[in-house]
Amino acid sequence: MPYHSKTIFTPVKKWCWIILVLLMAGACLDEPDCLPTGDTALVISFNRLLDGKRDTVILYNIEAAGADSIFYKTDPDKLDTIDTQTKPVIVAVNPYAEETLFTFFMRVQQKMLRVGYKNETTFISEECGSDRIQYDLSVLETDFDSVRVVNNVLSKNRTVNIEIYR
Amino acid sequence: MKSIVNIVLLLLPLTLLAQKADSLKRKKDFLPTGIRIGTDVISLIRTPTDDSFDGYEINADIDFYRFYLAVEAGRWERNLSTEEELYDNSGNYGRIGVDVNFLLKDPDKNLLFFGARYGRSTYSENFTQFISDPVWNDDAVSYQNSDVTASWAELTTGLRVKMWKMFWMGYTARFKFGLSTNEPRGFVSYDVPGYGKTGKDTTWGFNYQVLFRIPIRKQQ
Repeated sequence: MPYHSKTIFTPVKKWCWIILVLLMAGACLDEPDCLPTGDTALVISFNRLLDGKRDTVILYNIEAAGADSIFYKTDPDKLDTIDTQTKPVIVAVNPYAEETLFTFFMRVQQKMLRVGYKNETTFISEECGSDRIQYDLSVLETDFDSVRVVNNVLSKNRTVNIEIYR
Repeated sequence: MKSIVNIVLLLLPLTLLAQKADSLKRKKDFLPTGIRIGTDVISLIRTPTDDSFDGYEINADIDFYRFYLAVEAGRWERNLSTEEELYDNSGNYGRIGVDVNFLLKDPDKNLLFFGARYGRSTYSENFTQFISDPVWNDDAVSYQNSDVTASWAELTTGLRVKMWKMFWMGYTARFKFGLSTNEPRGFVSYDVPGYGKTGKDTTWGFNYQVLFRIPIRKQQ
């Protein structure tokens, strides 16, 4: 049978164009998800040592070493109560360091909690910017009776990271 | 699911031509008839026109009957910036693999091929992020990943068409997957030379090539 280059190339050419267009369309779907998940918020819940249920704690404030801001500052004369029974306490860890020391000023005493973590940054895209997560959360030092890390990644979901038992 | 669709897209040329190619009976001659050497035109155009890219890629292949041993080497550098981030990388890469030709009876040895590659890259990258934090104030954090090695696999398809005497043109579409990098934790590699952005498990690549074919001997 004689060979005819055109007979093969005509359908090939057509399909090559179709494949090319499909490949281009595929490439458009290749953009990364623009959903940063990282957050510096450390979520702490207070629980009763006796039965593990949420506890109510009277907090004047919470300070973080090295930060100008004070979390939950209340008037000492009014003795405002943060309802830790329904809402966990949210503080921010230092994104420039790998540990943060928090001091909890309570009604008759003050307690400290030093947490350690690692930082990881992902450059998502020029349009989306970057995402920075804190992971491998651990308690380095504390004078609370009992502290447990229940979620070692800080995220925008803001689920409880640390449970403090009193 | 998307990966399956991608693979199906790459396999389309096979299904179209396998029947015709199989029906052709000719004597198998595994001795090479020529070496083709070329470069990627897209990289050459992007280098002077795109401020964020600087690079080149050299392609070469040699035929063994319907199989072509393909070797590719290149270099690219990227410089990207946003209001809060600065990123740059530079590195070299290489790929090696085999293409299978499905236009066996073409007298000019034009190719419609399907193939596979193994890619490897060595690169360094720098990233600076300006963080705006209401509690911990604003500051900049910098990362450097040096001498990172990456490897990946590719499925390829494309065309090589003889234009005039030794001058050829063609394209290669690449479905890249299985990326593995060894950078330390801290900053996740963003762009791997030869592979591209690392944000997804798979990615696409495309080269438009100009090539010269140096004949070694006449085909029997």
